[in-house]
Amino acid sequence: MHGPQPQLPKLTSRLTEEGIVIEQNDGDELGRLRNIVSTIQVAVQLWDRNGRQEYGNAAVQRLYGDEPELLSGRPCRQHLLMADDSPCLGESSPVWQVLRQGAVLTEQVMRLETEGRPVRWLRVHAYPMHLNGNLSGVLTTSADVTSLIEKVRQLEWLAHNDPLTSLPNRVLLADRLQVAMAHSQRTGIPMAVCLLDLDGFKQVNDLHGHKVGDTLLQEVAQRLLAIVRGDDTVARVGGDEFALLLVELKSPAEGELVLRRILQAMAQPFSVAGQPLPISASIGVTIYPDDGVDADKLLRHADLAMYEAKKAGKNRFHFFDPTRDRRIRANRSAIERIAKGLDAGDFHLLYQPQVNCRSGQIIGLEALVRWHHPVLGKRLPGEFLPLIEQDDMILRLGEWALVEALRQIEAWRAEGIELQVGVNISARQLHQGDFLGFLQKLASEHRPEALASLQIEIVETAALEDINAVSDLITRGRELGVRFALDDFGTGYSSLVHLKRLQVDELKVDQTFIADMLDDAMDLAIVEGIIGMASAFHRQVVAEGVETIDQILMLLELGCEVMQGYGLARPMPAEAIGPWLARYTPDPLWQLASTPRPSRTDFQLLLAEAGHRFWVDRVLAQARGLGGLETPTGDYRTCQFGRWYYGQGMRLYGRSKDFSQLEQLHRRAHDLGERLLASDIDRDAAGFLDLESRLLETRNKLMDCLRGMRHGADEIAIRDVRRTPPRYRRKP
Amino acid sequence: MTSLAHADLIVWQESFATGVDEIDEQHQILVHTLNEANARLTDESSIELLDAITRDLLSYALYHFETEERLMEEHDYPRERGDDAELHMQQHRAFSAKVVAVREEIKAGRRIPRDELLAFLNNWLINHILNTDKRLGAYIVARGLP
Repeated sequence: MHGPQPQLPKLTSRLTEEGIVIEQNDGDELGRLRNIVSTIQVAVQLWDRNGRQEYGNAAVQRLYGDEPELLSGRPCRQHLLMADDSPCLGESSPVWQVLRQGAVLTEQVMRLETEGRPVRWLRVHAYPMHLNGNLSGVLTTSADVTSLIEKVRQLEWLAHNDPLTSLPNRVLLADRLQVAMAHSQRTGIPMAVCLLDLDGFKQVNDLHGHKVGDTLLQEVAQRLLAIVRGDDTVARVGGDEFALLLVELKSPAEGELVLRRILQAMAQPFSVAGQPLPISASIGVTIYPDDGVDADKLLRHADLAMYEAKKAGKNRFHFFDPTRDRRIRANRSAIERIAKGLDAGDFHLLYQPQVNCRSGQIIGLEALVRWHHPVLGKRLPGEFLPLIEQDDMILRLGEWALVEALRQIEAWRAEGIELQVGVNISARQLHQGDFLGFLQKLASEHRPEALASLQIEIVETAALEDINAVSDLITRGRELGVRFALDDFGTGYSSLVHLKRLQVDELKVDQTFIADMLDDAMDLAIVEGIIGMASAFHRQVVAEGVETIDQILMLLELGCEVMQGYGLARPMPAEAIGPWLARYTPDPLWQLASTPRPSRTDFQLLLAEAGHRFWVDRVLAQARGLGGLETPTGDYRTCQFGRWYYGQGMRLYGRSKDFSQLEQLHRRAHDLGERLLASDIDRDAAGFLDLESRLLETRNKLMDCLRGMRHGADEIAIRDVRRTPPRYRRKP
Repeated sequence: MTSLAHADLIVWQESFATGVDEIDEQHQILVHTLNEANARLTDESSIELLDAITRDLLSYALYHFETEERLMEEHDYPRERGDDAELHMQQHRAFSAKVVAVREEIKAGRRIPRDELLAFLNNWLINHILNTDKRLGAYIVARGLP
């Protein structure tokens, strides 16, 4: 070492409350500086090129005691640790680092462990000193920053832990969850993410105050920590909500065991300040990686499962079901698919004509929505409407259909086609949105004639959901010139009182009844009833889903003239309506119902068949004590079939061999019916059932006989497609 | 906790897999729906439950058949395996039509018996997934997944 040797100065300055008090001025600048340095609380040391201290101020002793050379890595009783927790020994010491590298070392936070004293934190700087271009030594400063570091560490702890229970909080949980997920993915061993919510905690707080509640939470935390295994995590994530990470679950049973223990521990009464506090826990669990989502979603899934546990009665755990969740999301995606289709213009209206089969006149059209799915092709409403019935999507679709239908009505009017167009409106549209407001807006944007051509079709069951509101809506809507129809009539209560209140213009008979009325006497009775109601209330009645000539003839006979269905015309695009109208000619067969031509007999046989079937049904119902149907006529001459047989039937078919066989069968049926009505199923079940089956057998023979006559003798071949009705080809 | 201890529950197994993850994931949803119907449905169940289950089936038909038919198109299935593709799509349409029919019947007051609905779904699962879909899956896998 060259140059003047620094000497320990005489203590001629003091640090006081006022600051540094210089009591003696050495006269030169260096002396004055030395004096000042000797007083400050930062330990200042000068080191030679061999790492030996040459000078240290008073603070060195205060900080390092009798071991001033800790910073040059000399082994000592005290332990000095580097920022990375490695011991400060030899070459790694700040002094030697500077001596080796010749560069400044700043802001080293080091830990000093002295026996019998709390740990201290030091901030150390080390500067190389150069003299004449040569490294001559090192200057170090060491400051005690313990209070600052502890404050920082305290803040850091608070950022990651819950002060009440000392458990990790949400932030630290997120870290741990990431680590645990990575581990689980690496090892392939599942883990459980659980959310635990205390049942009855609010009552504890309300009854005993927050202080007791807080103590309870601390005890809960202790019990949880006592149950989980070493690598598991318990965190407090909310008021009375805890999260658990159960890692390394070698089997589902292992996780369930821990969960069951937790439930038991929570259900053991707690006692705070002598107060017994009965609580329990509800736990939602999801298993990673079975539930292969990100950390946030895992917690959300555990939360959902926790609510399920609560809903199922608390004090239990519930596993999240990823497939159910996928299912719900997939269902949601189907709805979004429909929304996208509507935006993309993939929806279209088709129009199906309604025909008055007595006059041959076209009455109107029903607009039916079709989805031209880009992949699946044309989809029918029955496939997609149910998905959006309970979603606001149906409102958008309904509004779109009304606007589109009105646009088409105006376009047709410009071509001279003036037809009424029915548009189906959902229950949700009636009850949720401001439907009347929407109608008023339409009225302000379109000509009154166009609006007068619009008919809104409401499903009967939807109208009944809130009959007051719907009745009001119909009244106000009709003031705007719009017509209303009750659709799918017969599927609701179809009561006279309702019909009186709902001022609709039209009743549409549900097609399921039309499809089955020729086979099922009950359905026939329903159709007859609806036609009667419509006539009594002066409402137009329309039969939907008419497919065969037999149905048309039967409906005409029953007094229903306006019909719609594949049997008359299929739904078609708007541009096809004009050409169809130009080509349209009524089917001469419809005339059968109102002309006395011989071919009409075919229809008579049909009616006779339905009449007899209905009679047998009534007998069976009555014999079994089931109400609801009127008492059947016992006399074989005055029942519906009998009246036909001994009247018109006799005149037309009297000479045929089959005809006399009919009488035999019919009389046998009446005989069996009478005996059946007189017998008692409770007293003689076997006899009763025997009579029943013989009656049905006789009925079937009679019907076969009638059908044989229909197929055999007629000049006009009426397509008998009754046996293969595409029954479910519902509202296209 | 939810333990559906029912003898007939279907447990997803590797033999159901077609080899196309997207399809298999959606098939698991059908198995889930079937199991739920099995566990919850009785002949006395409310119309609402039947309505919900059949609506789920319609929804399933919409997204699942789109997935499969899009994959068919992407992999030239209709051109390479015309008959298989035709049959496959026919089965899709028949499934939708059957569900729509069941819903129509319910509306008209004729509810489908529990066992009939379950049998239909079971048969669909066995015939369609284990035969038709696996043929499609094998075809796609053989061509190399995208």
